[in-house]
Amino acid sequence: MRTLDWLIVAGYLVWIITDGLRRTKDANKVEGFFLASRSLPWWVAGISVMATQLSAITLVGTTGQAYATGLRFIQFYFGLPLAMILLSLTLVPFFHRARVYTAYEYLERRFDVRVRTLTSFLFLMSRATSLGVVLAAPAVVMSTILGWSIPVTVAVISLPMVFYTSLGGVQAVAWIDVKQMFVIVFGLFSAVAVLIVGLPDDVGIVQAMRIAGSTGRLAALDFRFDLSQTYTFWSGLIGGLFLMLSYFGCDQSQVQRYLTAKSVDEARRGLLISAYVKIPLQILILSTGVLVFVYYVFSPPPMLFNRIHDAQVAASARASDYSALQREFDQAFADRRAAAGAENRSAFLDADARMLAIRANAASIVKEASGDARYSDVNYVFPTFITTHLPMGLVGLMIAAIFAAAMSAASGELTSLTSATIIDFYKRHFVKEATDRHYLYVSRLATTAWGLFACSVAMFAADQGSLIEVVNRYGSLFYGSILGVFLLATLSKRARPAGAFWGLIAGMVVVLLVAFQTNVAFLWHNLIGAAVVFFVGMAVSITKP
Amino acid sequence: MPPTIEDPNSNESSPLDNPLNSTYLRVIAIEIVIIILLFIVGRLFQ
Repeated sequence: MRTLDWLIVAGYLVWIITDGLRRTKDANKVEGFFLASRSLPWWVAGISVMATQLSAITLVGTTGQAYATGLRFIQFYFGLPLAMILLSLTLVPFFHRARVYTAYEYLERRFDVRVRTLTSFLFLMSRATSLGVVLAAPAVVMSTILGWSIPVTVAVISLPMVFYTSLGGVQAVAWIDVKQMFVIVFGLFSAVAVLIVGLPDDVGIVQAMRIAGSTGRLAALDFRFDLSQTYTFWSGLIGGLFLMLSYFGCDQSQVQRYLTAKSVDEARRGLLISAYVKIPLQILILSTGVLVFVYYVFSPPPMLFNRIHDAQVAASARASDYSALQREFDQAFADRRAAAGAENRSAFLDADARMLAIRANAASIVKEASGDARYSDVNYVFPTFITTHLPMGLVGLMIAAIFAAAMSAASGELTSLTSATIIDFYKRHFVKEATDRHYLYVSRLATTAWGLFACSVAMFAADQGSLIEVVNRYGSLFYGSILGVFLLATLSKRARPAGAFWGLIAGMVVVLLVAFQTNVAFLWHNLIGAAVVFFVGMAVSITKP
Repeated sequence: MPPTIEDPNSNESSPLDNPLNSTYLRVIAIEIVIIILLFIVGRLFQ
């Protein structure tokens, strides 16, 4: 990072804060703060939906995953376009025409206050902790790359975001999301351009694809129907459909985005942007990771990308073993590069397998020397490439893009936590009648409080590697059951409040049992939860009308 | 439709209420094309 890069990062942060301040004047009423007075054009609402879903760890983790395994992760998104169509036909018009502030408010009108409160509570439980992780995951990576401490990194990401969110509400968040998406996409295209230009003169794009394809990195589709495999065509299409229905249809962080649109059709058009753009955008992100792999076929990669424990390894008894591995790695790289230039497929694959085995051995030594059993370097591939191979100026732009992705995802979650807290709990159960000024005041307080809570979770989670995985798994337990309640509400006239309430309880219990007692991959939990809530809810409704 | 929903605009219809609207069909067509392209690229460069 050179002066120009730091100036670009600082300029980005100043730009975001001043823009947030500029939007404050539009958030002087409750409807303005939570729903932008239902005035946003479809493209702003739609881009905000996408920005909320694209977190920094998507940007950094997905490129790293593609570097290691290729395009397979794209299957995760195959259910998304279908989910957008189904939501445009069902829940979007319901929510918009019901003039609700939160998705869960609708459940009280359809069922009763118990169902609304329980569902909103489940949402708060899952989102409050996931917001901490959304901040922690990039903070861990960026603190290593930039040499900052975790608290400083969390503060640089969180404080501007909490500031503009608490002052400007969803109006500020949505318009800043648009700018952040521009920074992210521009940064990605620039990185891809540098990667392609950086290939040797005699290596064209077709040869680059042949190199990536020979290692299986372009084999995106897996048609096996195996419930234990996380990413297959079927788990993405069917399990992913239910996950996306739940996430985009029942999660306040998404519903709030399209409730800001001027009309039902504007909300639908906004949502359909994701249907058109999400898969191509993910292909762009994954292709960037694959291109980084090809780039490092011709340019020496570090043996390990995460260098956080370098000093400990150098001072340990395994230091000489590690140095020997480095020499073997350098030789294997030279062999792989020569084989790639000569288009000798078997020699290339042989050298690639040697490099992979050496990397695994090196990681074992790091784990042993540092005592960090969860050591991994997948998330460090792309940031390392950015800071060591991109030209001056572009480094700052890409670091700003990673901050932008972290902020846009976190701000969307933060506004949704505030709206559920104030609308579903504070206004519904505690202070039912008050002025807009009062509700705005407590909303800003709640935003700040949730922001500080998320920062605390982020700093705690950053030190507890296993917690991140636990929290992700824990968050994924809720989606299917919440979707099941909304399916009951919209698909059946016979569904009754008692059915919805007990169906929700049954769904949660069954998903918990499946998650902790079987090896069924997590995407299927969404289908199971939704089905149990729906069928138990219908059975209770029919037997106890 | 559940009868208990407050729905002031329920009488307003829109072309996007129709599941066979060309916008939705286009979304599905684009996804099918992308999957076919991914399949072809995977086969060509394996």
